[in-house]
Amino acid sequence: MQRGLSVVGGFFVRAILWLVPALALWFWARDWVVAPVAWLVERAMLFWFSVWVYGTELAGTEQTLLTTVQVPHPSGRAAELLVDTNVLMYCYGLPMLLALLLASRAHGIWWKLPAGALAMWPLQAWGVVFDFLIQIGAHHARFSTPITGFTPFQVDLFGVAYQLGYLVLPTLAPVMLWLLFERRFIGMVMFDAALDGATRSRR
Amino acid sequence: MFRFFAVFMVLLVAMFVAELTPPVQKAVVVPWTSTLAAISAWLVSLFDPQVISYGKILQHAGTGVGVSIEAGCNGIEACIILTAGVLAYPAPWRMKIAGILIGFVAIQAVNVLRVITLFYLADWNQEWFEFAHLYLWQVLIMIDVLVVWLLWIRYVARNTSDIVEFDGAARA
Repeated sequence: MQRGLSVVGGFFVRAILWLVPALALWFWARDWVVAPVAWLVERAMLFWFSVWVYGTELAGTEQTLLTTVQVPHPSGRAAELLVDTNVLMYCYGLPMLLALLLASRAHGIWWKLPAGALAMWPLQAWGVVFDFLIQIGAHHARFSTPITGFTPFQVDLFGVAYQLGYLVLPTLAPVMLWLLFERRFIGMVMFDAALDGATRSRR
Repeated sequence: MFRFFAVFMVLLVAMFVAELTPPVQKAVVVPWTSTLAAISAWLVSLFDPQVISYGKILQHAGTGVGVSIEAGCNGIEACIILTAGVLAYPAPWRMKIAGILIGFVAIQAVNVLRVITLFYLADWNQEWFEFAHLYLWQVLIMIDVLVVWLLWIRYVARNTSDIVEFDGAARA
């Protein structure tokens, strides 16, 4: 039992210890980390909503969506609606994946980490895209509906997709990728446990 | 493995969508979030009697600083992920139920720690609070879920006569 417990216990301790430098490095490089995700978000928004979206701006980790949706300005004139979000809130999967790979003493981290980052970019972009859509479709519905044409049902779907992209995907994606990459480790945990069970039943 | 992932994703999305519906919010999410705030306040009040809770708010009566426990901070999504992982994995039902119940306690225990640390960080330093709230604790809770699940599959493997492969096939 002790040996089996130590496989998971050791993994847990190493994951926490590796998480500290991984998060520090990731936060230091945050402006570069969000760049590919922000680029994907811009391409997706322009592809699907080119009628009322004309681009995005990225300042640090804050991405602003530029729209032609008209909103009243305190000066009395009309203004264009801009919505922004912190892209980094969707991108912390990378240090988590790195910590998990290091904790399980994975082979081939040099390709698993970039492959994982590449796989996570669309999921992270999902979160940002639906963050923008829920702001436009729900928070500014009064001004945006005439131009976007979003129905209440569509806005509800945006809400579910946003919640999924904000609450679940950022942390689930690195774990799923780690499970995919590290089936060897899962096998090791189960084999060790089965061996322990067999030893115990023989006593 | 494909079967596990497929079942896991279907269960996850189904439970997540159910969680967002008004009846589940009213019957489960809101009461649980209030309970979580009350548990956190009770624990903190053992050494800091000025801490109070009302609804989903945990607040210091002296300084007025407080935190509101929002969606994503009540541990329910983490429990949903664990439940989907346990249900999707081939194991006897009694073990699945035990895994879900013990896992809920393990996740929520860590989540109470999250709420309390964030409460004090909010008072101490806003930048560190933001970092811990938005990134650090999100990752730590998920690692907690993963470790609980790993311990559970270890328990299943240790207490069943078959070695269950990760792809769902069983070997004698």
